[in-house]
Amino acid sequence: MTKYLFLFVAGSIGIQAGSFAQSYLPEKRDEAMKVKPVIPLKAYAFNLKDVRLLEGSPFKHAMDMDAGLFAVVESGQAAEQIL
Amino acid sequence: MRGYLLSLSPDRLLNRFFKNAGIQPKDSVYGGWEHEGLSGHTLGHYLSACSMMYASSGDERFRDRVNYIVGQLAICQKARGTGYVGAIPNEDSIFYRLKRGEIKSGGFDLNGGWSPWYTVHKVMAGLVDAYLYCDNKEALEIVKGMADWTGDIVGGLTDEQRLKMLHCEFGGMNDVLANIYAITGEEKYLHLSYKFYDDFVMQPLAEGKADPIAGKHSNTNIPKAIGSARQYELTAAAGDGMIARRFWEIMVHDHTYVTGGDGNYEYLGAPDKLNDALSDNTTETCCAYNMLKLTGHLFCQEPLGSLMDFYERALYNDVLASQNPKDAMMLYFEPLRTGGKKQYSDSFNTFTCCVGSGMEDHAKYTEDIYFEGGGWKPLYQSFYSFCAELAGEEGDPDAADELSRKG
Repeated sequence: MTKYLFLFVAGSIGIQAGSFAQSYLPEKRDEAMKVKPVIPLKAYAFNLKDVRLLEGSPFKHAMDMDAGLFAVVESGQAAEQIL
Repeated sequence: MRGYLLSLSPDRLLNRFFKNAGIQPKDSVYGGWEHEGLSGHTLGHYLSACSMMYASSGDERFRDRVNYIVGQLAICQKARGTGYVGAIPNEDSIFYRLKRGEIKSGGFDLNGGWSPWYTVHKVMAGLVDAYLYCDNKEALEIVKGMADWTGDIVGGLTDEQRLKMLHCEFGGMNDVLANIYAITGEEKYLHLSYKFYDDFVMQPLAEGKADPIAGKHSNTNIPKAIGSARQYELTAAAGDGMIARRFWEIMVHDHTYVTGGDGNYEYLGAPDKLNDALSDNTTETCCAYNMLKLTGHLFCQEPLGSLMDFYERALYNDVLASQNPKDAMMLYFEPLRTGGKKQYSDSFNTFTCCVGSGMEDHAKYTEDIYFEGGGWKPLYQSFYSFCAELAGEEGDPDAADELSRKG
């Protein structure tokens, strides 16, 4: 079951990482990490802020619901009151 | 509505941080595990989740929230004067005795505390995420203080004492300390990260010995492999790479259900025997949360399709399915018993580990959908579903749009 897709995109891609927001997964332009990986990496994570979930996807729904939970934790209100 | 709610403070999650620092708390403690021996772990997850939610959504209210919490933790840390900041009941006694080499440990108990290093790790990881995703430099200073304090506690232990300590669940202490080394460049933190290296799961994996995780508590052990994966990236030490890869292979091939989850009543059974392990208490959600972290590291090291096949399976069936789509409450276990019924958390009186990791799960879906490659494979898309676009350089998403269309 190899349903994994390789994408072949010609030319260089103009994605630029922001000035700080980094993940703990290796990124190509790891400005927040003084120590760079010393093994040869073959893939790099994107910065969270460089990827946006599309409206209508189940992930976007889950993320929005989760954001709502934070509000619940703060307020002491029941979930159904705000969601 | 969210703006109003976010204007309120998270003081209830900070309750025991204040109390343990000898400062009057601003509000009462929450229920569930926050009212018990694991208190403080939720604040760590919450810091991580809000930090990532800020990065994922761009909503500055989450960054404000992170900044507030970090500021409060700084006050608590200063009041304590040891570098440590925490909310674990009786923590001063637990760690003082540990430092002196008085160690009573096993399973989830260390000197009478409930997996105290596990909770310390969550708070430290939250602070690291506040630094990484929200550029909160105070968070880095606080977590460096905690790391130095950790060195003070474990630095004088003999190897025998240290290994005894590691029989109690210690979360991802090796992982967060390796990350602090990567951020600061100070090698003492790398050395310290290896204090959390055990001889009964990690060493056998490094030596290529047979499955050492059969019969063991699943989520105690997955974070060890994540830490080893990170250490391998930063050191190229072959044994660490072996631990990470072999742990993944053994877990996924010999202990994982078709859903991508693992564990029955939180424990792993005999290899390749799951047919009689279908109960109401299968596949603790934290396990999938941690396995996805491990898989992300391994994919960066060697982008194999099999890794993302697993990732997709666990993400949809276990992580996404762990959230009630109607009210955002979380699952501890996903029941695989025929006729089993999902038991979701309560808003304020649960706060299990899976509520904490669940807060993070849904804030970072964007993390592994795409990966940058190189040469003839400049972009990897992990899932069939077209669910995200690359935003690219701020204000100039053309290149990203091009990529998205090809996705």
